[in-house]
Amino acid sequence: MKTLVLCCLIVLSSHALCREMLTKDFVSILAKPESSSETLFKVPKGRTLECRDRIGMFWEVKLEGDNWGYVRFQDLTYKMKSEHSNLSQSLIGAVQTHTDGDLSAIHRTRSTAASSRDLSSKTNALRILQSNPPNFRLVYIIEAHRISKSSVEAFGTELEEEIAKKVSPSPSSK
Amino acid sequence: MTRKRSFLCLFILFLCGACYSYLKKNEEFLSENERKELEAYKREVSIGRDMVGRLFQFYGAYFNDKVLSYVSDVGNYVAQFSDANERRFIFGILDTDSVHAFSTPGSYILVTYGALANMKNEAELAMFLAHEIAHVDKKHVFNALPNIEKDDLIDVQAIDPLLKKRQRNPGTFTLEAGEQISRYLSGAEGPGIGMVRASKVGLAILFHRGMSAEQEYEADRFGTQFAVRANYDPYALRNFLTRLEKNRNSVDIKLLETTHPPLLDRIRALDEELQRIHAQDILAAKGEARFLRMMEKLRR
Repeated sequence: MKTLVLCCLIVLSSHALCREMLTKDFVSILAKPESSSETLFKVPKGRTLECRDRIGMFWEVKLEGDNWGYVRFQDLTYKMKSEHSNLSQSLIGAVQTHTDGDLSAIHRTRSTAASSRDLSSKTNALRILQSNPPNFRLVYIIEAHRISKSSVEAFGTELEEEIAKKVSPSPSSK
Repeated sequence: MTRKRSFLCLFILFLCGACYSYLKKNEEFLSENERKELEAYKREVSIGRDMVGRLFQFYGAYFNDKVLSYVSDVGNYVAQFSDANERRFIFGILDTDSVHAFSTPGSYILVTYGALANMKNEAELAMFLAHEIAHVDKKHVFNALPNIEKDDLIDVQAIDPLLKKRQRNPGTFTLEAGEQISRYLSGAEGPGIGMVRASKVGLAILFHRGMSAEQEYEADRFGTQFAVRANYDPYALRNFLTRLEKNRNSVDIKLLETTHPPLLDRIRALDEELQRIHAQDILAAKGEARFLRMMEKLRR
């Protein structure tokens, strides 16, 4: 039995399909997305599973071959990428970042086109869009905007907490 | 002596670590296929940057650091659950009351002030952004660029009186521009008029003729899946579209309606997808408190 579990785990962690999720506890992999379904095997805490779809209260997880199993969604947690791949690093680097003057001074940039031209016709609007030069200064500002890994990670945690409250509401909220 | 050895070992380990991280980030160590993908992506970014620059020039930009960070974080969080999670998505806010969002090649996503102001919770924002992430993921705009249509580009020679004598047949112009875009996209031609023309055709697709109804339904479907994987309420996009339909007289949805299938049809198609994923059984979050906290800062 232990060997079977181990083999399955190797298969589970070697496939890069959709999203990697971590097991929160010792979780059961079910044959169908139903609570009463037969348990195929169990996976210990902290293992990575490849998940495809949410079907109701279950995550669809990749098993050996073309098989899929199901895990209760509360048993899995979102796993942030610890490291980007070589290609991913290069893709991120391909978007050059620029700093252009004092960014904090800019709160709102009004459109010059909208106030001075007739935008009632869609064709006119498209012509203005195509004939006006692009404002790269504004593009560089959004490109320079840094994403903090911790704040993105915090999103997942807060959402899980909100769901956890729905599953087991605190005595005061009853 | 032992201390010296330990120092030496640590130093060697440090050097190895530095070399490894250098190699990981260096483009020279990409495989042939990865290098091709990177070059194609760079062309995408050039087109996307030009399109976004023109949209900003046209609408103006709404800059509020906290709101922009929030939109960016929600978008990047959902994008982690998409099939394009290797990319870096860049988000911006357009200063217009029209309810809309645009995605361009190169993973740029722009949402309008009007759209944000009409949302009720974070799940709606996540779904709205996930719809655009799905367009990027499926390369809907990028793949449509070489298929140029008659009204997509202004033929400068045809409208300039000085060049009027050299006016060409519109059919020839379209064919020539389409070929030029294809050459640029395939990497046979460097950045130049091909890139600018690709950007302008991209804007015509976003602004004028829209994507096909099938592509929009596909983006709704995949967007819902991405956001549901991220633990967001599966009904959020449906609720948002229903509210827009209900308030159609007071909300500016003209552009949304001309470039997308009718709202009621989208709601119907979403219902089928929600049924498929057993949405009624999905226990999910709306992120309402965090969204409302953030939207208090959404002031003009």
